[in-house]
Amino acid sequence: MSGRILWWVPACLLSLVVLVAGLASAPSAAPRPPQALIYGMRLEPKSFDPAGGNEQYTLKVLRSAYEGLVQEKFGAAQIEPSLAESWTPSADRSAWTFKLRRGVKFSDGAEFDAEAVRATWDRLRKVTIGVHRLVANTEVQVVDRYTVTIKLNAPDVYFLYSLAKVPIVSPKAIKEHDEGGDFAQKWLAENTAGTGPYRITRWEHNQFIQLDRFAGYWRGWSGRHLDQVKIVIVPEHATMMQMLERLEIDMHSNPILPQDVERLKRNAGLQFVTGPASETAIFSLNTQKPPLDNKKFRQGLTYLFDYPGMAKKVLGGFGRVPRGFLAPGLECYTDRRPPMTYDPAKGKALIEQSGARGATLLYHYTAAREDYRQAGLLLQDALRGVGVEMKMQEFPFITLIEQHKKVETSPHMAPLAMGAFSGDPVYFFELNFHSKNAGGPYNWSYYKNAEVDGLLQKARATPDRGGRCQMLGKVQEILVDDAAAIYMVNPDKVEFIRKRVKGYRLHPLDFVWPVRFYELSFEE
Amino acid sequence: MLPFVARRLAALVVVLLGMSLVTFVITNLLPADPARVSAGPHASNADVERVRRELGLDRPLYIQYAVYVRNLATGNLGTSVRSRQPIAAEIRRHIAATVELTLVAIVVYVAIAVPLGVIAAAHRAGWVDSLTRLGAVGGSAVAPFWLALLLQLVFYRMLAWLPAGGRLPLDVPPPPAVTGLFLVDSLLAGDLHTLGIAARHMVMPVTALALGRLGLTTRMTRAQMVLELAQDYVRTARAKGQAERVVLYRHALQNALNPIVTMVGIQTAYLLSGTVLVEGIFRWPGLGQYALDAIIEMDVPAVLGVALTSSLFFVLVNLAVDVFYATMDPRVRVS
Repeated sequence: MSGRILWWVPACLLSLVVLVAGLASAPSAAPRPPQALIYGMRLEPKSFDPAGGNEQYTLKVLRSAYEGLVQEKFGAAQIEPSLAESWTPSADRSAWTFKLRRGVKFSDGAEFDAEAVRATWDRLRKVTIGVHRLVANTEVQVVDRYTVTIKLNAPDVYFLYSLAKVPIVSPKAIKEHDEGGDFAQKWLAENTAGTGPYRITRWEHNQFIQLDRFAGYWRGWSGRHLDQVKIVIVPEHATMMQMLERLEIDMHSNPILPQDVERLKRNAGLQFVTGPASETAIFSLNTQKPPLDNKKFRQGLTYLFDYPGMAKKVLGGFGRVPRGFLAPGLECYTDRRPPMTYDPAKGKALIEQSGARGATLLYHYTAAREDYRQAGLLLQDALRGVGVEMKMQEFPFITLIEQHKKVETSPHMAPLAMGAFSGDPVYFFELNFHSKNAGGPYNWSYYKNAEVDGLLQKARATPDRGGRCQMLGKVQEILVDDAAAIYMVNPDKVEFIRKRVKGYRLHPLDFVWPVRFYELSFEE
Repeated sequence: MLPFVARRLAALVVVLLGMSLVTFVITNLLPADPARVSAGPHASNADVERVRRELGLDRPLYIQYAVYVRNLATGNLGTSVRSRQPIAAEIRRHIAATVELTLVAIVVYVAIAVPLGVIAAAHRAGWVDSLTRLGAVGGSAVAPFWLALLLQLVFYRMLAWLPAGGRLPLDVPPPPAVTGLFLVDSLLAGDLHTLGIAARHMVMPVTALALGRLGLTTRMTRAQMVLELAQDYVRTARAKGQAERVVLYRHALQNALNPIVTMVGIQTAYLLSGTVLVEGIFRWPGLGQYALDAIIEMDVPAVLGVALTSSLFFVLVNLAVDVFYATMDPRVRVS
C-alpha cells in the first residue's frame, strides 16, 4: 500500500523529463539568421591581440579582422598587395618603400595612413608576445602621409613574407584604450580594431565568438559575402564530428582521421577538400646524443624508415614521400631531387658499419597523435631487425619542448610537424637546423653546421632567385646527407566542409586550416 | 552553533593555506614552463627569458609563493599566463554554469535515489529491489563520459531530439544575469520560453552525471533503511498503528539519513569539481572546461586557481554537511 504512495516522487520527475524531452522534439523555435557561417573550434583563444597572432585558433579571427601591408595570395606561397598598393626594395633588399592605399578606414573609424604603420611598430616594440620577432630589427620611416620606408638591419629578400604576418592596428584604438601604458593590450584581447572585413561583435566565453561585417570595409560588399561568422567552441572531437555530420557546423579546425574519411565522404551534405600542404613531418635525430652523434648510424636510420608505408598506411594515402626537408610549395623546392629511400638492407649495412649495434634509443612522441605513435611503431619494427631497441613514450607537446632545452634531458628522437608559417624557405630551414636554434624551437636535432648557417644567411641576401635556389638546394642536400633528421612525410590537407560553403580554397601556409571569411559565401 | 561554524571557518583558512602550498609545489614540479606557455611555442629562448622576468617567475620559489599567498588574501588568484587576464575573473565567469549543472544533477539524483531506496527496503526482494540492485551495479560500472557520448549519439545524432550541447542555442540570448543560473534567471525574468530551451540543453548532461550515481545512493539508502526498519522503535511505531508512510519517512528515514547526507555531500563536491569530461562533450562552458583548457595548455597559475576553488568547494560542502547533522540529528552534539 505504502509503496504506491511512495512512487509519486520519481514518477513526477520522470514525467518532467518526458515533458522536457517532448518539448525538445518540437522544431527549434528561432531560425538561424541568414548567411551566418558556423565555424567549430576546439580551443578558445584567450586573447585576440593582433601582436600575438601566431597560433592557429587566434588567426581564425585575426586574418579576417586585420590586414597587413601585403598579404599572402590565398592558395600559394606568393605575396600580393593589401594595405600597400605597391613597393620598391633597395638594391640590396635592406630597405623597402611602400605606397599606401588611400581611403582605407579602420573598423573604429580611424583613417589608415603612414602614422598607423608607425603606431603598429611602436606597439610591437612594447607588446612582444608573438609576431614582433618578425620585425624586431626593422624601423619604420614615414616619408609622407601615404609612403613609408621600412629599414632592416640586414638584407632580406624574403621580408615581404614576414610583413604579411604583421596586422596593422588602429592608432586611435591603441591610444584610446590604453590602460597604464599597456598599449591597449587588455582591450585588444577581446576587441578588434583593424581594417579587415569582419570584427568581433560578441563573445560568450567558452561558447562562441561572433564576427559581423565591418560596413566600411575598403574592398566593399558588392558580390556575395557572409553577413556573419559564429565561431563555436567544441572541445570534444567526437562532438565536433557529430555536429559536422548533422550539418550543424559549416567548417571546423579539427584534424580528420584517415579512418573517418570514407564515412564522411558518404554524407551528401558535405564536400571533401584535399590537396598538398607545405608541411614536412620529421623525426628529429639528436646529433649530440650517442649513438646518434655517429653519422653512419643516423644515415642507417633514414634508410630503415618505411616512407611509403607512412604515406599510404598511416596517413591513409593522404601524404607523399618527401625529397628532403624543404616542404613542397615553398620557393626553391624542386622535384628533381629523389624521394627519400626505404632500403632496409642498406640501412642494416650502415648500422653495422657504424659499430653501434645493440644501442637503445628513446623516442618521445606527442600525446594524442596516433599518426606519430604509428610512425614510431614502423621504425621500432625495422630497428628490431638490426638489433637496435627503440623505447617509445608519450608526452604533451609542451613537455617535449621542455625536455629539448638540454641535451641531457632530451630523447634521441621526437616527431615534429613542420608546417610552413610563412613562405620564407630560409626561415623554414633555420627553425629546425640553424645552430642558433639548437635546443630551442625547433632544432631538436641539436644540428650545428657552419656551412649550412652560412649558406642560409647568404641566400637571404641574394636578390637573384637562381643564385639563392642553388644555395638552398645545397642546404637541402647537406641535410639529407648528414641525416640531420628523418624526413617522414609531406602530409596532405584533408578537410570536410558543408556543401553550401562556396569559395573556399586550401592555403598551404599560415599553419593549419587558414581561412579568410571574406572569400566565402553560401550557395543560392 | 555560531561558534561552531566560526571555528570551522577558521580551520578552513588553515586547510586552504595547506592546499595552496601543496598545489603550488606540485604545479611547480610539472615539466612545463609557464614562461614558455606565455611566450608561445614559437618564441625564441631569449623571449621566454624576458617573459619569465616580466611574470616574476625568475624569483626563488619561496618568494613566488609568498607573493601568491599575499595576493590570495585579497582574492587575487594571479594572472593567467595564456590570456594575461586575472584568473579570479575567469573562474567567476565559468563557475555559474558548473554550479547550475551540478545542482540540477544533485536534485534529480537525490529525488530519485532516496525514494527508490526506501521502496526497495520496504519491499525487500521485490522487483524494485532487484531493479535497483541491477541499476547500482550497472550505474557504477558506466563512466559518465561514456554515457555522455552514448546519449549524444542516440538523442542528438540519431533521433535529433536534443541539442548537441551548449547552455543555449547560438541565436538565443541568455536571460538577464542575476544569479548566473539560466534556469533561475529566466524564471526571474518571467521568460518561460528561454527556461524551456535552457532545460532542454540540460537533459543530456544532467542524465550523464546523475545516472551513474543513482545506483550507489539507492543501495546505500536501502541498506540504512533495512537496518533502521529492524529497530525496536519501528516495531513500536507500527504497533501504535501509525501509517506505513509515516513509519518509513518520519521515523526510519530520518534516522537513516546521516550516512546518506554524507554521501550526497561527497557526491556534490565531487560533481562540482569533477564534471570536466562531461562538460567537454556537451560544450558546457563551466569550470571543468576551463580547467581542461588550462591543463592542455599548461597554464599553471590557472590550474592552481581551479584546484584551490575545488578545494574550497569540498571544504564548504563538508561544513554544510556537518551543520546539517547538528541541526537535524539531536544525537550529534556540537562540541
